[in-house]
Amino acid sequence: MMKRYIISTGTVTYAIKGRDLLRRKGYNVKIERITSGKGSAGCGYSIILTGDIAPAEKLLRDAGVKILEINEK
Amino acid sequence: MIYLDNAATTGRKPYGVITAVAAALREYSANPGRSGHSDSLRAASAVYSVREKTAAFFGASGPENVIFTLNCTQSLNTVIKGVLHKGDRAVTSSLEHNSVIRPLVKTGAQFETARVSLYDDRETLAEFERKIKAGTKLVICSGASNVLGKTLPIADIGALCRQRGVFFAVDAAQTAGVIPINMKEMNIDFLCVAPHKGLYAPMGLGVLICEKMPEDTLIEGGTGTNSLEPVQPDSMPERFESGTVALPAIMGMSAGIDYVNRIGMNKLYEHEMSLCRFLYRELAKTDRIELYTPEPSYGKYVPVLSFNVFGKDSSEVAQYLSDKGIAVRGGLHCAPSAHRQAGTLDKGMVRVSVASFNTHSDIKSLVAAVKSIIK
Repeated sequence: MMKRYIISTGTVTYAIKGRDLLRRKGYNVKIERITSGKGSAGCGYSIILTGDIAPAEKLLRDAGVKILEINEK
Repeated sequence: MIYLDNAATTGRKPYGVITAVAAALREYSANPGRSGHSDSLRAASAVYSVREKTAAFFGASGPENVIFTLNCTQSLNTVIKGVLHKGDRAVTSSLEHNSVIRPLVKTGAQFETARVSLYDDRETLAEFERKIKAGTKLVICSGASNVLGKTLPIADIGALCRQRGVFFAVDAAQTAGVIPINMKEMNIDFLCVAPHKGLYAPMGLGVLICEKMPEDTLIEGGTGTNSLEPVQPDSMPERFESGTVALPAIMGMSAGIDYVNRIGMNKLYEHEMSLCRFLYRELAKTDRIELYTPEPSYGKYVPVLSFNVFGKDSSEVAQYLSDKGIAVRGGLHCAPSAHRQAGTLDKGMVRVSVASFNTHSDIKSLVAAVKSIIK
């Protein structure tokens, strides 16, 4: 079974940038607003990804998407 | 009313802009970037798509560099007060609007003024070269004067700033959507835009594009993120976007960019400049008209032309024209620096500014009205 990850970006702008980038590469992703989590400092947006995290994370970082933290869901 | 006050705001908005604003009010009812429900995310995605379009239009690095503000003045204040502190050094031009001069004064920074030549851009560039000294932190200047229409050699000044390691900010109130701007190619660090002018957007929206992050924020407040923190988040654009953004105006701007792209900026510019040049030649035929620039040439001027009728105050002439059904602007245009250089601080100028919807017939009517004052 594919693993699910929460990629915390904090801002909605980085979440949408990351979501659109990953979707174009065929990833199964969506955005959720998450209140808890030390990376989000209260409120923030995250990308929920189902699939292989390592290449996805590289894609995001190479595109300048700020990642606060990544957790398995 | 024949509307020739487009340097203040373009007086006729394209149908696509009007319908885009109406559609935004209907279709995007939720606050973008505040909630997690689908309506909010859809609104946030719509705003994001305009950030992408705007970044591409101005040759910026990415959509996150595009900050929505209330107007171009707020964009300029954000840059000037975010970069400069008391005792810092800056350089500006002799044709600046109060939106640049007043925030510069407020910071307590020392600033020098480079005189803009109306005839030779090399002289202007040489002035900037002389004024930029060791320790200069920021150069800020208009893309074009809102009074005289003269463009500044932005690409050359940008290259100079890069060479000297100085931040470069451009007030593009009169040039965005009118002449091409590419931030990367022109080495512009901060671009301040008035979308309700050359991009035909609704009023109440400004754009600031930052290739570098200003140190300080102008205002602080809710950003929809990092709510536990008592300080602003450190990511653009949210760091500089406290409070809800003007989504309907943003969608209107998006349609305005489409309008400019569809017709072609060069085609629009050539049309507007041909009207300006026609006006200049007609006004130059009479010795009772005072003109302050050479005939506006392509690439060196934007479609803004100012004049006076000998012996008359500019506001009196503007009122006379208004009574004849022609909208122009008299006075000092919030830019006393430009009037100081032109020697018109006492009487101002009558400013005519052209947009895409204006016609030769509009200009002929203006010329006839001006001639009727002289008789």
